[in-house]
Amino acid sequence: MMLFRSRKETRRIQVEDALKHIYNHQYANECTRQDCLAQALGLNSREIGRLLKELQEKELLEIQGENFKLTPAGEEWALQVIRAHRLWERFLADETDIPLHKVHGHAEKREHKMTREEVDLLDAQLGYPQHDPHGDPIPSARHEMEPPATTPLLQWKEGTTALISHVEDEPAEKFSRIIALGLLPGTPLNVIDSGPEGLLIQSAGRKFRLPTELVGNISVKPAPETLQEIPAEPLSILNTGEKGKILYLKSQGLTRRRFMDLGMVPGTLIEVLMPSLFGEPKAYRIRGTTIALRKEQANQIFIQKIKESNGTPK
Amino acid sequence: MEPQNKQIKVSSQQKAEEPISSACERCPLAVQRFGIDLEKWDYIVALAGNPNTGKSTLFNALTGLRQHTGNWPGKTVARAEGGFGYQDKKYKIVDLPGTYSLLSASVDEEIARDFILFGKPDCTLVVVDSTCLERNLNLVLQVMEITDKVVVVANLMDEARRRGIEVNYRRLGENLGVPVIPAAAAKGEGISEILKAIHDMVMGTTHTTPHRIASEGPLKEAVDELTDMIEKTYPGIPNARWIAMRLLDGDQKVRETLANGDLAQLTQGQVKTRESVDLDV
Amino acid sequence: MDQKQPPKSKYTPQDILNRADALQRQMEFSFRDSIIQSTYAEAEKLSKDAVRQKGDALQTWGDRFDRIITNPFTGLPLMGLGLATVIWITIAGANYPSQWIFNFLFWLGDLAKNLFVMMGAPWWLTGFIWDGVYRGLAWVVAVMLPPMAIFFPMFTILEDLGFLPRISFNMDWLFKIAGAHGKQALTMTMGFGCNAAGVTACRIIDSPRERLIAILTNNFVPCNGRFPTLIMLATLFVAAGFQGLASSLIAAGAVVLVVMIGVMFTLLVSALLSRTVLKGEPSSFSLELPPYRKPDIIRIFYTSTVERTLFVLWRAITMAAPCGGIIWLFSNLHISGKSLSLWASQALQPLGHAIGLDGVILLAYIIAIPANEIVVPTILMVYSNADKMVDLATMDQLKALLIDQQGWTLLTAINLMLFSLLHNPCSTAIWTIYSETKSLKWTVVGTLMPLSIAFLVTFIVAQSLRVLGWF
Repeated sequence: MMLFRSRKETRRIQVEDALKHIYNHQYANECTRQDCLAQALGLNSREIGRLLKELQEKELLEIQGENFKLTPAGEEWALQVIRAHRLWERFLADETDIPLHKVHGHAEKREHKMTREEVDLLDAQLGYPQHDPHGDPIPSARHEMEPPATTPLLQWKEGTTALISHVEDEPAEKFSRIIALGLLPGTPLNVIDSGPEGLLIQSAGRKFRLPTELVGNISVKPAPETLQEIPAEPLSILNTGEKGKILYLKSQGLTRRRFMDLGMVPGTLIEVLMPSLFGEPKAYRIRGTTIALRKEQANQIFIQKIKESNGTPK
Repeated sequence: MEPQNKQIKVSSQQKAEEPISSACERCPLAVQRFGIDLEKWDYIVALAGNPNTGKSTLFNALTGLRQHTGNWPGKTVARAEGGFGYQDKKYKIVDLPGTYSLLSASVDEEIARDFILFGKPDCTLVVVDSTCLERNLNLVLQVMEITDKVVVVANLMDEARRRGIEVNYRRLGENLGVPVIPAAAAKGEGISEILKAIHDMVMGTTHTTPHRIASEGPLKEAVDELTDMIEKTYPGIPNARWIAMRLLDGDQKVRETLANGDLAQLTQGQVKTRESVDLDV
Repeated sequence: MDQKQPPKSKYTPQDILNRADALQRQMEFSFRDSIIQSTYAEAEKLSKDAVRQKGDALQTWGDRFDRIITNPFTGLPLMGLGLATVIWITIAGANYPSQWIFNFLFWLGDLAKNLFVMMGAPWWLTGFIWDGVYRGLAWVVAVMLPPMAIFFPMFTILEDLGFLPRISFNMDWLFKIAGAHGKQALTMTMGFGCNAAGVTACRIIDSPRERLIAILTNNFVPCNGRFPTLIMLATLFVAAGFQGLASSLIAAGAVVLVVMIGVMFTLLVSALLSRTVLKGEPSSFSLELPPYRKPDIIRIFYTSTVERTLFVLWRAITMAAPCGGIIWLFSNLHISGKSLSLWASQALQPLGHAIGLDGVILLAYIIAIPANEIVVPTILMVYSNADKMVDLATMDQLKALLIDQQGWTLLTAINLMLFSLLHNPCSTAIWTIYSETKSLKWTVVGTLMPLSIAFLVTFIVAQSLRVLGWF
């Protein structure tokens, strides 16, 4: 195991982190002055001066008055780092057991160690995902990135369904609280009421209050037609004998593929056949086959409950 | 890249690592990867299907073997092989793991898929459960994307009849574009018809027009364009459409196969193969 | 941006890959999702066109049975009763055939031995072949074959029916608490047939961590080969004071209890592993409950009886016969007036005693390492060879040997049952663990962990019962 990074490696990490930060700040219209950068990167004024000079010499950066601006080459490099970061997060979230609130930290390290080829390979392996697990767009191999068309949740109007597009992953403590509430990117929600202690949210068949300090970390976009006005509920709320129509799957990666291979595609009917001896797991009838799922898996499948019309009592 | 110079070796499943000289001109890849001794067999038949459709029962019925057939998902964890003779021809039959799909690239699905693709069976039997055709047809459609030489065995027809499920097998066959043979393998019903269907398929007297998925809508354009490119590059390749779809799906294994020139070996003519390989440099 | 390739007559593979990437990028939807959706849509259409349901869909007896077996009130008793019935049929059914085989093989052995004596063969040759090798073989065939030949077809019928996935379905909750994969319940039930088969079946678990847990704990359910040991001990000791039906019922109850202890250890060790060395998040779980199928009972009886008979004979020839030879040598080679087996068993006595067994049992266990499911026959061979006075012609005489002459108690029987349940896998299972994990480390863990647990448990049981003053 390597205990010490080589100087060259440390240098690369510093350069890449700087590029990434300048890129992010530049597009968020935030401060890109030297002191702001020094603070964001945790460097003192002498170190940041040296770093910026190096970037300038490599023609990655140009100075505009007090602010800095990336050159096209600098922007491309920054996007490559962001691409590596977000793809690695996607990979960790989909294909490994690592909890979601830890993937950012892993990706922060990994992003500096991947070659372009490795990143492209990963992209292909994952089936070219468009978004990382936090809902941020992943730059393409040609370093194009769809601009994040999102609205802060705070500004969302009550009454229309919103789809979570982004959940800020820092600080990790807030992030884990948000995902504990089931508010992952891709989840539809409705704002029912707002008050001083937060928003009243309806999502996945539950109503709950989202504390004010968390609201700011969530961005949303309008939900597609298909999700409008359909109250999506997790499969696990169905009782024995009840039926539902699958609306969407929240799981990603291998689990999603497995589910879809079993015929769990949107529009498929699913019926709860019976619970097991201990009440868990439950057996479901899907396209003529009986499949047992644990509650964790049933919570990933969102359905629209079907009311029995021919009067069979529940 | 010069695949034609690769020394073709018998896989470790067979005796030694000595090159096959005369075995089979058209499918060195299959021999190399799957250790099937083609010298003793005239034709290879693959047996695919969902789990619990009675695949192993059919395998036993065809080969006379007494391979144990448990009833739990994932039971066939590796390939089982056997043989039978029919009308003076010898057939090798390979029982593939039962899978719902060929897309997920889990181990068992990969075994099944690779065999159908690289093993180049002369006929692929897809066993389906007549009592729940809808689910089973998913796999049939996927297999038909890889190979045209498909015979569908609609097994458990007795069970379907008992439950009042009426299946119009002829109609199903017409719509699928491949032969559909109703059977009840456990009782031995339909076995002779299956043997005849296999025979007709390997003799080339059966002509199939497999039903295609993604033949309309937004997928079509992308698939068609890529298929065209692949067909032009590798003339005579039998499964260009399937490869196009796998590439669009980001299938790493198929990408590698394309990049390293193995794909060229899937084409029938050797001469054509060399030409396309030269372009690869 | 993505410039479309100018039409050419040929492309390089890289052209094709680049174009695929570009097309993929342009799509506003997931290609994989769409392809699966459209495939299922096609399948639905094709199936609707060709299939017609006459009348109402029939509720099969399988559906109805599924409700009974998963009902909290009827399910558990039914499963317990099912297990008990299978074991009871094995015990009751194996009793007489065991005696017949025993009598026949020993009669044959004596005949041949006399023939050797008449022909003037040297005593050591006669002894080695007929008192050693042959006796080992005969013992194993007599003790092992009938229970195995009865249990295995029954297990196979349940397997073919589709019963095992239901048991797994019912037990999954316990495995979930233990941090293990749901399919481990399935691989565990496969272990009742054969632990090596159970270890191989672990391939159905995708997550390497959970698969390893399933592989390492599979040994804790007694396989078909270990049932005879349990059955014999239960019959001889636990049900000793009873006759006829009562005896076999009580013996079956004892074996069921041992099986439950085995399941408990499976869960306990799984929980321990998944919280320590094999820590991690549970992976996604889905299990198909296939429709029940009518098993071909005649074929199963034919094939599994033939198969088991061959298996036992093969085991007897390759494992038990050499063991028999070694034991004879141990009993007949003398150093300073004491036989080797006496030396060895005396040396092992303190350790054996500490865990409620004795030196001879441990010696037999060491000799029988290659196939430790034959450890009990080996014990009997050591005893009978050490004490030439006893001619073990019937089970009664056997009882007399163990209880009266060797001083076995209920504690010995309990601990031997526990030891046989928990100790390391047989050589075939160990080899299977290696070929499945491809790791020397995990093979060693899979071998030594159960062995240490066996020592620990028997030690605790022996010491606490002695402290309580029961033995």
